[in-house]
Amino acid sequence: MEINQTAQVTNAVVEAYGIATEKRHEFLTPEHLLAGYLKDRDFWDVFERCGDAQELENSLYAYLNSLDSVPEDQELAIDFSEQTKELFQTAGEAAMAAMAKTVQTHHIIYAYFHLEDSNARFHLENALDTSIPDFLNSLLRNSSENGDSEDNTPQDRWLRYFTSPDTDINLVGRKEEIGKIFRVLCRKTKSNVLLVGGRGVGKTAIVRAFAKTLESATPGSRQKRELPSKLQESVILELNVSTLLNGTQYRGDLEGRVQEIMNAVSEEGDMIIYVDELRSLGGMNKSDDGSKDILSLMIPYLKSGKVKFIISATPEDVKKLSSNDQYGVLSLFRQIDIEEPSDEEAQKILEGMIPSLAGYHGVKYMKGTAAHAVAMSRRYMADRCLPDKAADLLDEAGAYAESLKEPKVTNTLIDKALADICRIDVQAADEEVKDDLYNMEKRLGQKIFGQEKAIRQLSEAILMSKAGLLDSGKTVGNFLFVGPTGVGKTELSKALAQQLHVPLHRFDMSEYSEKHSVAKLIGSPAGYVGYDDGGILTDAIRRNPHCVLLLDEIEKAHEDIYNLLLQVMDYAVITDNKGRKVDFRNVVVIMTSNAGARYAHKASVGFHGKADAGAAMAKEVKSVFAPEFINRLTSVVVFNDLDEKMAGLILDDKIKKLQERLYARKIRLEITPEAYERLLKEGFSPEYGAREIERVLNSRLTPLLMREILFGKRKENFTAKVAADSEGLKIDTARP
Amino acid sequence: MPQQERQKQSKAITRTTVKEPRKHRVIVLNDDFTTFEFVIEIMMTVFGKTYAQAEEIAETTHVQQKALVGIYSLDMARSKVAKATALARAENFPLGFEIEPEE
Repeated sequence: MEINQTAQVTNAVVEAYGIATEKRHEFLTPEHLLAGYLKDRDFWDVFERCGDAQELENSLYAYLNSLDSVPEDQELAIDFSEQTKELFQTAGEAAMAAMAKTVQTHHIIYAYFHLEDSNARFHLENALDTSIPDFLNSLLRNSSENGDSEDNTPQDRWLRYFTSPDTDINLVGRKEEIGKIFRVLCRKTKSNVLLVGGRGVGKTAIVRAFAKTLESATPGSRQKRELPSKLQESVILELNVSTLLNGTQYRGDLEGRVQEIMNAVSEEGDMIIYVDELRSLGGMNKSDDGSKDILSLMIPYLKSGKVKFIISATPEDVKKLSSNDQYGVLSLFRQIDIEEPSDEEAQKILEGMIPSLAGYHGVKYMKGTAAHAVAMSRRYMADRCLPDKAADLLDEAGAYAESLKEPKVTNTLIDKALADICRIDVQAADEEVKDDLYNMEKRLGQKIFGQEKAIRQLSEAILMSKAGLLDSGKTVGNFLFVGPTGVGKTELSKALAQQLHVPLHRFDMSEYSEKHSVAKLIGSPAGYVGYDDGGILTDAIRRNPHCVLLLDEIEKAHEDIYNLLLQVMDYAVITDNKGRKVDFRNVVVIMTSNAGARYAHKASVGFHGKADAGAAMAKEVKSVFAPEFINRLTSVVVFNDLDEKMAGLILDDKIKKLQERLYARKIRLEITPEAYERLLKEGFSPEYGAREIERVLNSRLTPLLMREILFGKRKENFTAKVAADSEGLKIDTARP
Repeated sequence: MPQQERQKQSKAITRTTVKEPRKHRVIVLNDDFTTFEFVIEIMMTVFGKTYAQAEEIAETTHVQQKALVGIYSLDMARSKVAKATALARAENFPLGFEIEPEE
């Protein structure tokens, strides 16, 4: 039999099968099928109007329970019984005779009355009060209301009318884009639209608005007059790809379905098929096993112009498709780029969304929250698109308010939502910022000793950037810290990051001294291992666009890294391996180097003095780094050698930290002046800087304490007096 | 009301014209090719007989050229016969059945 059957028929068969399975019957008989029908709410209702459905059910089950069951140890294989086959045969003939396209329930029931010596027929007739023709008539009338209609064909299972809820349609602007869409759809051939734009930029919204325009184009209305004549009768259908794929198991199933749909839709005419994601149609991977993806199956229809398509995609998807495009599918579309809306437009869009958000969360959105959301999301959520990211903020803020049982959504709540989504402490960053900036120099000086000039240079540059006086297309600042080891270059960067309340991303350039290291930072090219992992640097900056980037020992990096840095320092942007641009405009770039360090030391020892040391160091720096590199630096910050005064300060600081740690165990540390001098003398080394002091402490002082704490008479709660003697230091424990 | 009477009448008419479905007898026929063992197996798997019953049926067929297998509804009779026949043909046995209504 070539014709199809309706869903109601199929469902009844499925139910019947279930009953037979449950009772372990080897044949699916007309009695099973009728019992299956009775499980359908609609069928039951129709039957009730014509007879006694319960009586029928009872007698059917009485009969079914009297049938032999296949024993448990035997395999159960259920076949249609002979009369069931007869049933379908008769039904099919009846349908064909009636010129129906599908076999419907009333055809099947009609066939029951032609069965010979059938229990099903017998019970059916008994339970009916009305005449048979009346019953069949009821079924027929009921079919068009209740899903046994002919329209419930497979095509309509996979395509849905693409309508939109009346609210939420708030298309601000985009008039140009809609105009373009009209024009493309009115073309004679290749009248297919490919909407290209980042996620959340509003592609689906545009299609919804378009659908609404078509819907509301009732005769004589303004919308109808605005529509081009070719589109007046058009209807948008959405293709549900997952249902389309569902159930296809054999080769050719998918092709068959696509053909069915396309043919049916072409015949109807004036249909526009909308697919939400280009990716779902396949075409992304090169397939060499001959199996076609949906997109290539649609090619002949894309070309013909009888069916129009609108498909949405992201730029990355389009790029991927074009590199895999064996059949030239992309040329059959007209690409329309959908950009992010401007801030004003985004604000208007959000203001349109606010009523429904407010209603959903049961809160009220204060004036200005829309603008604030737009500004915040633009600043902190660089890797997503407006208006979606701002809408996200508003939604989350609303949920926040709802959970806190607050009636109003304020900017503060929006900040909280942002902090949640982006892991950025906006409040801390914003509120304390002025105070922090003012005191930044002072506070930095409290952490790093003896580098006043460096700190001042750094602070000034940062403040200038914050005041907006610098070129906005560049990073916050590019700094090269030079100086001997252990004087506080890395420490200063850490302290700066803390002051600015941003994270510190540290990269040790000695790990990136090989040619392939660039791939580690920005990601491997397509086709190479690790393509999907992305680059460490680009990912870090993308996630936290406000940060301090510290590149230690920059002279050890491979020259390809330099070239990368040149671009960062000048244009504040890097393109990663996937082609995405990463924004460095809010990054403070700090590079450290030991080049020229030896001059600092030499100069202070020799007789030229500090001024010449600076010149000598600058000369060395110039010789190590290329001029175009130095040119792009905001400043070269020279770190002073460690002198005695600085060493003293550092020693004080470290002892203080030690004392704090000991305080937790109720141990007091006292150091005699002689011991202090001893430590200072041993620890002070211009060559090795502050680290030497740490080492001296760890080798002289700390071991003594350790012994006392672990093995001494008292484990805690005592005063340790450290004194110097002829050999080294000794420790005296006394009562508290 | 006239309509109700008419309905009752049609119900009555329907009732008298609808007969109870008749049961049917399934009879297995003898032939020179189908083996004893096969008949026994068919009787057990398709017609749900025990070994003893199956053996007896096979005996009777051999001796009397035909034997009564069982009494079923028409649908069951036809379906089982179709199944058994298909199995036999698969083994190239010309095993045959008859179905008779019980009067």
